[in-house]
Amino acid sequence: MRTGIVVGITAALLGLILLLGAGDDAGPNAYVVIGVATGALYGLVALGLVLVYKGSRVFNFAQGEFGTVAAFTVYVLIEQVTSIKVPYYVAVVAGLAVAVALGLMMERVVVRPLMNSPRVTLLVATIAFALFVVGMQIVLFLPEAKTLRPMVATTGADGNPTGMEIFNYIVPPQNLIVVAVLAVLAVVLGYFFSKTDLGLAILATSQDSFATRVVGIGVERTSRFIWGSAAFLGGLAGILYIPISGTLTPGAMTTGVLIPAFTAAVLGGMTSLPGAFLGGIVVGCVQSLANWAGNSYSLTIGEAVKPLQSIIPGLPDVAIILVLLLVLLARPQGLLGSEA
Amino acid sequence: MRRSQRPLAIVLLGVFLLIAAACGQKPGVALPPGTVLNEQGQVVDAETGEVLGTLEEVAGGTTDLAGGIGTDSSTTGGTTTGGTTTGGTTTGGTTTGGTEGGGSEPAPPPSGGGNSTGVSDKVIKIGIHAPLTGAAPVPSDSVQQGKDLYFKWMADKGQSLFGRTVEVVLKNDQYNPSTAVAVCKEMVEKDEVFLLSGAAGTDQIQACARYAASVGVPYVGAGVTELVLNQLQNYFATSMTYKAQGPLLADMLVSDLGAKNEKNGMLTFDTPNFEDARQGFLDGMEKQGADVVYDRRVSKGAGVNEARSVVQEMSQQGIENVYVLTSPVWFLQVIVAANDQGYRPQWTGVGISMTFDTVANVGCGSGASLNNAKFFSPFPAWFDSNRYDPEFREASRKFSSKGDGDDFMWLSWSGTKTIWDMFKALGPDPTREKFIYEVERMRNLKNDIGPVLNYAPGDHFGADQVHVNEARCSDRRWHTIKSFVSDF
Repeated sequence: MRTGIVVGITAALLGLILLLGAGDDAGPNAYVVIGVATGALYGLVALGLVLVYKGSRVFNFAQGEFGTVAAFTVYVLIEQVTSIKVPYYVAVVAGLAVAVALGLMMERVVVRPLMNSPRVTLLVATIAFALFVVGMQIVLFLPEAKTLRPMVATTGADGNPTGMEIFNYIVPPQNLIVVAVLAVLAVVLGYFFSKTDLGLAILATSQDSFATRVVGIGVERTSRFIWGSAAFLGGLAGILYIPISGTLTPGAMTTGVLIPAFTAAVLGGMTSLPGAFLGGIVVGCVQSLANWAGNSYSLTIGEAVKPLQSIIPGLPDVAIILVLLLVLLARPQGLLGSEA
Repeated sequence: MRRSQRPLAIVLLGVFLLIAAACGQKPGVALPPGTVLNEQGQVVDAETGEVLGTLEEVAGGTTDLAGGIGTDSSTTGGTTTGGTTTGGTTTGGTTTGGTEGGGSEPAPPPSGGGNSTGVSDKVIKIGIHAPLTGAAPVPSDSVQQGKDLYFKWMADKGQSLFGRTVEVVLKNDQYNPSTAVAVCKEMVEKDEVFLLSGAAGTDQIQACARYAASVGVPYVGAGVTELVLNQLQNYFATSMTYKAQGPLLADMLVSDLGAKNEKNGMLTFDTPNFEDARQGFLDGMEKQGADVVYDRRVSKGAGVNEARSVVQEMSQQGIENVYVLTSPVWFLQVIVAANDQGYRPQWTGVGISMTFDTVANVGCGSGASLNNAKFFSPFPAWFDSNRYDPEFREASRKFSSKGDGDDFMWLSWSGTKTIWDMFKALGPDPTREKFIYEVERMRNLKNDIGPVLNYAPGDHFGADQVHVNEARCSDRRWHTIKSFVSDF
């Protein structure tokens, strides 16, 4: 019920902006589209963060690196293996497999030994693991920027864009895939955690692992499932995001997406999978609308007319922090968050 | 429920506020946004020219701008630690720094003695910092192999600096000014290098040069911002500063690219160190009678969303020529966003790392927007290196594992060749004081790769030439289309 109301209010706000900006080429409409398109990327990473938090109450700072590792795997298979032509989808499957393997390894080597430690210890351990993985990437691939082509080409044979034009903004095909994947995952995972036995077992484990063990639920098994699934989601995010961002470098997902994704997860509610989706969209839209406003509105200071973006450096970041502050003051558990 | 969630919310808010507070804070860069230093060292509003006060009053900034030669005997002065060539006592109080510093006040000639730290009978040790990781990473392997390639080549040819070779210490500044200061300090205090050098990264070069000035160590680096660096007596630019390149770029845009009758835009990172570059370009365009109708500053932490937004803005406004002064990584995100939209303006700019082949390779990988981009560079494209110095590829084949080398090695070759020539002019007994005194009097210093350098006691920005490099997506490389240009 609450989910419907919050999603409805958000959609209504965006709809109002679109309505007010209708017919104005320089208006905010294209920026709403940019916000949704970019926010979907944040949401995809946020989904993995929420999954881990929901299942184990850990903030996983290594979530981004599941994606970077998966993207590097795809890069190696389609750009560097020249002896055979590896189809893109095969490379994607391989990338996801490597990400899941990394997640399971992290669960076994880092998470499980520290399962009964304070949560802050686990949090620091995830940071250490992320740094280790980034270090390995630097050793293996050097810090030089690389390019990973998208699943569907951005430009056609005639050199023109192949994306879908919405409100004067051409959404690249890869981004359309991201939005679709995110929407499906939010629904599927929401159903999984609310309707299936395994989903309920995971929630039970996160709340009281001792009690869960007493009633016969395998805590290790659920832990493996959570971290494997989170790594799968992270890998998927990396494979979809890197071609959009343009550059593949060690730590690319951590430096490029992790902070907005964390913001999205907190905004949406750390325990809500649909909240991660919604938070991503809100963060993306606030960023891009702040970009638009910063360049469209000016203030007169003395005799000089200055655009907002030159008066408030980093306006998009400031706007996000303000929105986060307002939401958390009103609802500390986030827009859609609730206990478990 | 609410009670259990509130601490989490407070902790997270704290984390985000800390991140926000940290964003944009660059150690050693204490000027508020929109301000620059004038020639008197006062902070002025960049647009109105209004004097706002001294650096200390306005920004609470650090005051070790000038430093002085041999002023800090607690760190490196006082003894000759690298060898026994010159006796090695500092001249102590006979410094030339003071508050004016920079090239603004001629130094008296060194009167014997001096600080020869880093100089031994056989070796002169120098320190180089470079962003081996960070927002503009250069391949460490290339830098490692290129850092002393020229010195090895000269040694192989039987040439020396009065019986000495040059040993290079290389450290990673992580594209971070505070890290740059830390590694420069380490090279001065622990490795005991004679001089410091940096080839890329405005904030890092400025930060390290400021530190070097505070301990009397010469600094030879690429020309970047003039802010603060124009006050340092120890700093010598080996290429044109961004501010000086602005009018030249405007000249090219109008004379060669027809910008006078087109819509021109500017896209820069919002860092005080790019302010003089922005102003230089705006002044140049005004002088050329061309309008800049789009002047956009973005945060150094900008990502995909900002890249998409600025491309949308420029595309909507029909901007035809864009001057870019950002990190290469973010510029590549802009290029991807431009390709998504089928937006293909004339990209132009200045700088060093923009014309690395990596940028052309990655940028062309996402579409054709980068094709024919024209950027100024202090060194010709690696592709054309044989036209300028055939010995580079010979040396690379002989002393490195990278065949004909690459552009990072080519840049290092050019920089170290200049340093070699500077040492050559010092004579057999180099001291830091003598280095500064002699180099600031050097005229017509040329290495056939970088610009001809003409220093003077009042001017340590010795270059007035650039190369024009063009990106070609046919081979995903930069090509040099004009060389040693000082006018269009």
